[in-house]
Amino acid sequence: MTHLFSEEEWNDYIEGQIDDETRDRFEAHLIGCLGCWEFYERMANATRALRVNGAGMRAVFALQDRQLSAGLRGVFAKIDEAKAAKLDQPRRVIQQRLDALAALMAPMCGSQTATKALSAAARVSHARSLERVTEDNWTSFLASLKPIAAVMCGETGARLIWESGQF
Amino acid sequence: MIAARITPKVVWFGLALNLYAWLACHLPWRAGLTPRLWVTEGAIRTGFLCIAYGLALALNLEIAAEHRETRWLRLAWLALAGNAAVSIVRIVVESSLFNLIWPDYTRDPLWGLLQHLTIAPANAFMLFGLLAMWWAYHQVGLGFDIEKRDYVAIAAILGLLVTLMVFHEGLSEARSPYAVSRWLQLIGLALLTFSAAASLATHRMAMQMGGGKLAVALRFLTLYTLLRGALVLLQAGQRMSLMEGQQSSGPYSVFMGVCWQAVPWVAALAAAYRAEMTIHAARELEQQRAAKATLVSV
Repeated sequence: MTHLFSEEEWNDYIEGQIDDETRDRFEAHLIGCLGCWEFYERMANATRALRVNGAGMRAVFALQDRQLSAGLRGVFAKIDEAKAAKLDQPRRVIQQRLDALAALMAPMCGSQTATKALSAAARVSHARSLERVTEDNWTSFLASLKPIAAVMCGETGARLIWESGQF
Repeated sequence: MIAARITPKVVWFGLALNLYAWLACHLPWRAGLTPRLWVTEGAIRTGFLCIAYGLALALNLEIAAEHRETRWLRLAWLALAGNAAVSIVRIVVESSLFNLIWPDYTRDPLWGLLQHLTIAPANAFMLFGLLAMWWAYHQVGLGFDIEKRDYVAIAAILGLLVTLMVFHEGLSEARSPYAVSRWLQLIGLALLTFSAAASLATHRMAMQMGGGKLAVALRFLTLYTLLRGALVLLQAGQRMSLMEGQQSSGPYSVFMGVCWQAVPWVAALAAAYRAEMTIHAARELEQQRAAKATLVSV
């Protein structure tokens, strides 16, 4: 019972680690397919149960064997760190790009204007806020920044910002 | 690009040269060392001020040409170019050099009429330019706000205008035989006051920008309007305080001469700092494209 989706995609969807486009496809399909909806419910419940039991297991180990507990904690911490680093990496890249744009704008129209311009561009783009600017909505963000930059930094400045912002 | 050659440094140098040349002619006469070299002084004044407004005109037109897609800013810089162009005509018509071919030209009521026929449209251009600029920056919605103290300053400036209107006998054209001249002076004064008020709004924006070349340009624009307003006010006050036939003091005349000659250079500086922003962006863009081309070739 996987219909249009692979098992891997089902797992990623339940874990919440899927791109926006595939998630939209899943949700559009789930609304109309009762079988898949029931399958999703079962899978989601099983995942939740595993998570709860896993936490219980960790607690048990902690009580019975301090050494094993410490070792497992170390392993879990490393897994968490690796996951966090994987998740943070794109955000760090975006932040670096935003900082570079602000640094380009500041000598022309001032540092405060640069910060305000980036926020205003994010607000009117698909990102809706500066914190939610990602690689996926970057072009929309950059397109919104260009007319603001044209007013504040001139049209040559806007061209500079547009070309600098290209991935 | 003209702006690549007419940098703020060049404009500062022009201002220094203008003041040095004028003071070198004027001060020896004040000290009683030489007779008054009024032709030389007139030529220095007319020549340098035409150059200053000419630079402002060329730079303003170049800045306006850059704003192809931002209509209000294009209009704003075109209006400032209009202000500079009309001001050149003003400098020519009020030049004391005409005394050479028309004795006592600068004492003729027609001199005042011609002067105010140029001042009123120049001030109208300036007011429109400042308002268009403020509107363009306001429309972007970056949260540039006018503060309470700005409203107080604007109210004070408007209060001064009302005072001048009431005591308009102190104005230079108050006794002109031409009614047009009297009215034009009042209209020009009102336009200058509104420009000074509008420039406070652009100055507040400059304060909220956190540095940058645009903020410097806006500050010079504010200085240009406020300086002109303050000088007109000082002159009117002085005229009212003097008895019939009494001359103003030497230091005061020198101070006013220096300030009036600095005014057009301040307008040119505003344009030069704004144009420098474009030059900076163009240079960065060129470097960036060169870097990308190198990367691609590697």
